Amino acid sequence: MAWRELVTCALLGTERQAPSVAGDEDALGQVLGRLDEDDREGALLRAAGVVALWRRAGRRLADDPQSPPPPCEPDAAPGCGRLACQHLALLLQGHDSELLPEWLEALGAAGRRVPEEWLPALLDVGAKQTALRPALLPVLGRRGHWLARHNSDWSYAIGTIDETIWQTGRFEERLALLRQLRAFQPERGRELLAATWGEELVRHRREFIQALASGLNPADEPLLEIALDDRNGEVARAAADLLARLPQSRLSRELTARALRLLRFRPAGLLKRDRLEADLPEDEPALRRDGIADPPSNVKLGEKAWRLSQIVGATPPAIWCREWRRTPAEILAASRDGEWRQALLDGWVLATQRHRDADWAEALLPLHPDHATLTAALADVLPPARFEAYLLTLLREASGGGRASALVVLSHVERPWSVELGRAVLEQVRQRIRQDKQPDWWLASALRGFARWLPPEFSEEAAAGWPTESRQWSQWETAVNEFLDRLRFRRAMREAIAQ
Amino acid sequence: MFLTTEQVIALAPDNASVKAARGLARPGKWATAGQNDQALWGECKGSDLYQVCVDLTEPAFKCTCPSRKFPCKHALGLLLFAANQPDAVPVGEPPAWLSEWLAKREQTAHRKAARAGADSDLDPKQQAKRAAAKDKRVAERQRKVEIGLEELERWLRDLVRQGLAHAQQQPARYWDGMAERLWDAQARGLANWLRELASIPASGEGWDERLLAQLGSLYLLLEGHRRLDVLPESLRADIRSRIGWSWQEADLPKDAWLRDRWLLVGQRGYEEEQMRVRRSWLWGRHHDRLALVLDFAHQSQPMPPMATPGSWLEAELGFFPSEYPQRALLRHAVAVEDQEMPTGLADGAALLDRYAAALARQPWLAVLPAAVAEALPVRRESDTWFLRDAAAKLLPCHPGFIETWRLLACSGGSPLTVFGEWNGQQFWPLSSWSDGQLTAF
Repeated sequence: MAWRELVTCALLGTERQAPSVAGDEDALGQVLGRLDEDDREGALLRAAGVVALWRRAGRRLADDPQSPPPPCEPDAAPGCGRLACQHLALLLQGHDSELLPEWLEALGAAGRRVPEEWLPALLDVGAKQTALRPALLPVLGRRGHWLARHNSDWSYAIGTIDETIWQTGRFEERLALLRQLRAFQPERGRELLAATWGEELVRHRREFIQALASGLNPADEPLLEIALDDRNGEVARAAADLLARLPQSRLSRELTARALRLLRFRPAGLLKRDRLEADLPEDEPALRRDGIADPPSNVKLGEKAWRLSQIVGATPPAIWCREWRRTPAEILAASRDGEWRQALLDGWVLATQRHRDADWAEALLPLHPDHATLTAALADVLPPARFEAYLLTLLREASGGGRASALVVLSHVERPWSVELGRAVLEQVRQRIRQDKQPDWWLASALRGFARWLPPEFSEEAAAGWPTESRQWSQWETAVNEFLDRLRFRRAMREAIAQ
Repeated sequence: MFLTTEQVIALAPDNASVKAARGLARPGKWATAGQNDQALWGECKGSDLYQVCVDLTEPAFKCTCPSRKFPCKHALGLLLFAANQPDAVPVGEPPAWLSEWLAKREQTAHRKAARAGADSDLDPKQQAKRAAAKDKRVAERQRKVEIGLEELERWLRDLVRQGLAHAQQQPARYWDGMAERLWDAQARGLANWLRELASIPASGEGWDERLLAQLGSLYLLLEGHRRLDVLPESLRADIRSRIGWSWQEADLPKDAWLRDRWLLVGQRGYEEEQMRVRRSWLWGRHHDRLALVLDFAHQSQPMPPMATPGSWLEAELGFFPSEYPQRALLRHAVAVEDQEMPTGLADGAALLDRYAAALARQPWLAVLPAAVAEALPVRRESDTWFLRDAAAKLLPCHPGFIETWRLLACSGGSPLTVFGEWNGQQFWPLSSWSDGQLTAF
């Protein structure tokens, strides 16, 4: 029986063509033979029903012409339990997804790996969020790496990077590729960018240059020098900023030499304290080329003073200590009465951040108590022990201002705290509630962030001692509960992984 | 008792309830909380102290709060709390107020059972009256259905007389109109079938064959219905089921019920006609039987509660009469622990043989559930996926199945047993296992 003939007849319609339903000499043919061909529609529909069923029941499968890809080697590392998987599911659904890196790190610390069925979801997240990769890659296990080889979206997870994206991809994909390369093979990233630099659009060049901040090294200088001559001011400034972070770069050395000429240190004499004098730099083409042209509109300094601040900002701050044999605090004291004090301070703050100089950061911090983001940026330069010591000192200060600024700094800085710091912070928050203060909106929302950095084993202790009888408590309650909830979730999450 | 967040969220009447419940799922909100095998309980600190309990066996909910939502946010909050921080809801003895409620529920259940039994105790006159009323309703529906089927037959004959090519040019109204008339004629199974047909003309190459095969099958059903009197009881039931008659617990014959330990081996949800549908496949380990339990909910309503894939129930399943019984009702379910897994079919050929045998008995069979052993998920050109069986044959995966990467991740390139639905053309994987650990998709 030719099924195709039935289909053709049905397509045309029985008013145009009579169905031919005669079959072979088999069982099917016998059934079809009993159909009344005079009833064209009935015969066609009945034959279709019977033949379709016959074909459906007689279907056979095709042979696989290929051999399957090689299987994955077994993984020695264990996965994790059901509760841990459930926490992972919550994090992936966007409930507190900020905690995902912590979950992954805890998994790695416990010597475990991501359970197989969660690999695709996590590999997808890692494809979009490059920041997650350092935590994700170590816990993928053999299975994860095996799986990533089968999907080009996940090529970041198999070590070999698909560089053709640089030639063919959209801007976002190319930027992601550059960032990824800069994290592991900074030279290769720079080579790719250098090869196509002349063809890149202005609006992309600045972001490409900024991506070089990761993995920045002296070999980047030639490309940055080219970018320094970019007709677009923003591209040139981004390049100047990176060159200023490389102490051995031509830009750094020249500006440092200039700074040394502009500043004069007058050591203490019989009746005199240390003093610092400064000359102001004139506008010069050489300075303009190094990114020091016209001050941005929001700068309060005069044009020349701003230029001075930028030159000092490009000078590694440790140089002053060596040159003048003074500590940062002593140098700051010497500058106190100088006419160009503010310009120098701005410059040193900039240089301290660029060179992550902890000594200078510590000296500068007390001078900026009211500038929260600046204080936070300087505090972030400190290594963990000095960071904690600085904040504990602030929190134990008698003046409310210092204690409040410690909380502000902590709301800006993303790094884990010790139990001692956590205890001091919570005591401070409780005290504010006891003082019947209205909830500060920033502190209420900062509490949520604090829950991310406290040690999770602290959650029991953190739950006790809240001034629930305080008149303002009801206004704080939600924020405090959310804080405790998050801290407990982190604890439950870590315990589930360890089980 | 292991609860998952998804299970709890599925019980919620709306999103606002889930949100409110999340806020309650923390220790500070509960003056007391506890659980045992049967129930969860707690006292929630709201504007008053509310006593909340959840009978996990049904589940059933009880709360002293005045909320009209059901289950209320307190019950959901307690469930979420227990799901995410099981240690914070310790196992213990239920408090007195809870024992009272559970006892009361048991009494009510007894009374209900007694009432059901009491039907036969009614005096013969009343009994006869009830039976007559029911017969009348059935006869009325039968008449409507028959009118609908006659119209469908005329419509089908017109369709093939004018040709499939002509039908392909018709607007959606052409198909929907017929589907609506069948819906009104209370032939809802056929109405849904018609709606499925409507999508075939635009489904690309081979649409004509697929459409004709469906039209033929539909016509066979009409023929079967016309000859209902001469068909065996069970095939008659199949035809009536396909048309849209369904079965109530009370209508099922006594021998339809099968008691066993059932593994929930696969589950799938989808939407159909403003309704959410959930298909759950259960495997009975002693009888080696597979059963399909369907649950429905309107868009805004919660799904009836159901265990999650991989869990075990001690329960009775009442199979709808059929030549190839699949669909069943679930009753007296109790969660239990067990291990066993169904043995998979040796290869794809065995699956097709079983499918052919099933079609021979029930030609309108929608899908055949089966586990296939030694199946290797493979990805081929243009992102098409197959299961490669032990004989190196390819079983195509259903294009609607989107969890292919998870299936591949679970296999790691080594064969595993995959359970799913075979529709005659494609396989829809619902779960897989290789060492007794079931993963649901």
